[in-house]
Amino acid sequence: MKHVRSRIKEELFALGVVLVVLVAFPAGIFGYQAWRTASAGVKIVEIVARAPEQGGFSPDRLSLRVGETVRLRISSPDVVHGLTIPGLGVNVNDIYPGKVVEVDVTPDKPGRYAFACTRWCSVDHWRMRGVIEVTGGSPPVIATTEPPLFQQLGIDLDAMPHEAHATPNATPSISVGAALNVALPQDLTDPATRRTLAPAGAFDNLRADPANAALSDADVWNLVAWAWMKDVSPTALARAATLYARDCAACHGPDGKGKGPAGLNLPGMQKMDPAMPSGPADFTDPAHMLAASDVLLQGKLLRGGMGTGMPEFGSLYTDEEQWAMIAYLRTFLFAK
Amino acid sequence: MADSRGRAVGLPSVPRTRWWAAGVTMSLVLLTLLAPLPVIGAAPQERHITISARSFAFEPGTVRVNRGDTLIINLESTDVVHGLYVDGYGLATQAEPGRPGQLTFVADRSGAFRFRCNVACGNLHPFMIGKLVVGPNLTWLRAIAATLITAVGAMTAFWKR
Repeated sequence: MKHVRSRIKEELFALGVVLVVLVAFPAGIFGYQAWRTASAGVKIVEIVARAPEQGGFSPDRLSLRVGETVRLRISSPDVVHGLTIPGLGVNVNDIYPGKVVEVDVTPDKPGRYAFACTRWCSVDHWRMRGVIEVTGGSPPVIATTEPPLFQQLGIDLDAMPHEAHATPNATPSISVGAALNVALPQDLTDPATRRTLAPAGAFDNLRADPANAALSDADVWNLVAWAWMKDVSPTALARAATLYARDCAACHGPDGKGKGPAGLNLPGMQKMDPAMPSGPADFTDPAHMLAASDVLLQGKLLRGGMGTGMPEFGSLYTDEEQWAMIAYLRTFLFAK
Repeated sequence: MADSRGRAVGLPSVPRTRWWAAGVTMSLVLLTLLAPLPVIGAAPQERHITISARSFAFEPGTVRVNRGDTLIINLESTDVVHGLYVDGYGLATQAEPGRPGQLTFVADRSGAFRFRCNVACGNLHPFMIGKLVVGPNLTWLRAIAATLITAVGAMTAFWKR
C-alpha cells in the first residue's frame, strides 16, 4: 500500500514538472511581454526593416490614431537601413543589424504619411517605402489638395527633348547679376509666374527688351541667374543639399553630372523607345536644364518615372523642400 | 652525484661546443628580430587613392605605399552602404553611392594590414577584405631570416660526427 502511494506521489510530481514546462514557462514569457508593453505606457509597434528583395519594411502599412503616442521599435536583420517619416518628423539614419532603435511618434493630424528607407541597402533601395494612415480627430478632414502646378498648366512631362537654343558661354553669376542694378520685369519678380518660365525663355525676353540693349549677352544671363536665385534662402539650399546627398546623388552623381554609380546600367525603357533618356539627367547640361521651367522640374520630381525608373519624391518632400531642391539643381549652372 | 672526475652522472654529456652554438644562434635570432634598421626608401609623398567598394570586394584589393607617405583614401561605393576599417591603424570611414567617404592618415607603421568592410552589407560581408602594404614587410623578412638562422644553428649544434 505504501508502495503505491509513493508511486502516485512520483506521478504527480512528474505531472507538475510537465505542466511547468508546458504552461508556466510560455505564460511567463508572454506575461513578461504583456507587462513590458503595458508598463511602457505607450503602444509599441515593431517594424522590421529588411532589404527590398527580402520584403522591405514589415509591416509597411500602419494605422494610428490622432493624439495616440506610439513607440516604433525598428530593427534590421540584414544590412544598414534608415527610416524617415517626413510628415511626423522622424529621421533615423542608422538602423544597424542587431540593434533596436526606438522612436516615439504622436501624430496630431489625420492623413496618410509616407515613410522610406534612407540608406542604400540594396540596388532596389528606393523601392523600400511604406505608409502610415492616421485616422480620428475631429472634424474629419476632407482632402482639399489641389493638383500640382504642372497638371493645372497641362504641361506634358515627357514632351522630350527640351533643348534651349541659346546657352551662356560662361557660368552665369548671381552676384554679378545683382550688381547690375537692373529692374526686372514683372514676370520675373513674381515667383508664381517666374516658375512657369524657363531660364532660356527669360533670357530671350530680357534680350528682346530695348531697355537692356546696352547689356552684353553674358550680363543678361547673370540677370537671369539673379532673378532665379535672389529669393532662395541659404537654409533652404542647405536642406536641399542634404536631401540631394541622401536621395539624388547616387544616380545623378554628387556633382550633378548624371554619372552616379547607381544610375549606370539602368534597365530603362530605351529598348522600347530610343527617344527615352538612357540614364539619369545631367544637371550641368545648360541646353537641357535652362529650357526647363521650375514647374516642369517639380512635375518630374513629383511623378518620377522618366523612363529610367526614377522614384517619385512628392510624398517625401514638403512644398518648400521641392522648391528648394529645384533651386539647388539650378546651382549646378549658376555660380555665386 | 658526481663521479671521480667531477662530471655529472645520469645526464648525457653535452659538449661545450654545442652550448656555444646554441648561444650564438639564439643571440643572432634575437638580433635579427629586434635590431633597429634604418628606414630606407623614397621620400614621403602624398598619395591619393580611390578605392571602389562593391559587394563583396574592394577594387583595388591591395594598396602598396611607402612608410611615411600621407594617404588620402577616397572610398566610393557602387551599390550599397560600405565601410572601410584599416586594421592596425584603427581608422574607419563609410561610403554610399554618391556619398564617398574620405580617410587621411600618415602610414607610419610598416607591415601588411588588412582593411575590411565594417558595415554589414550582405551575406558575404565578412569576406570583404583588402590589404594595405606599408613599405617592405620587415616583420615578414625578419621572421624568414630568424628561421634560416635557427635552422643553420640547429644543424651546427646537433650535427653528429
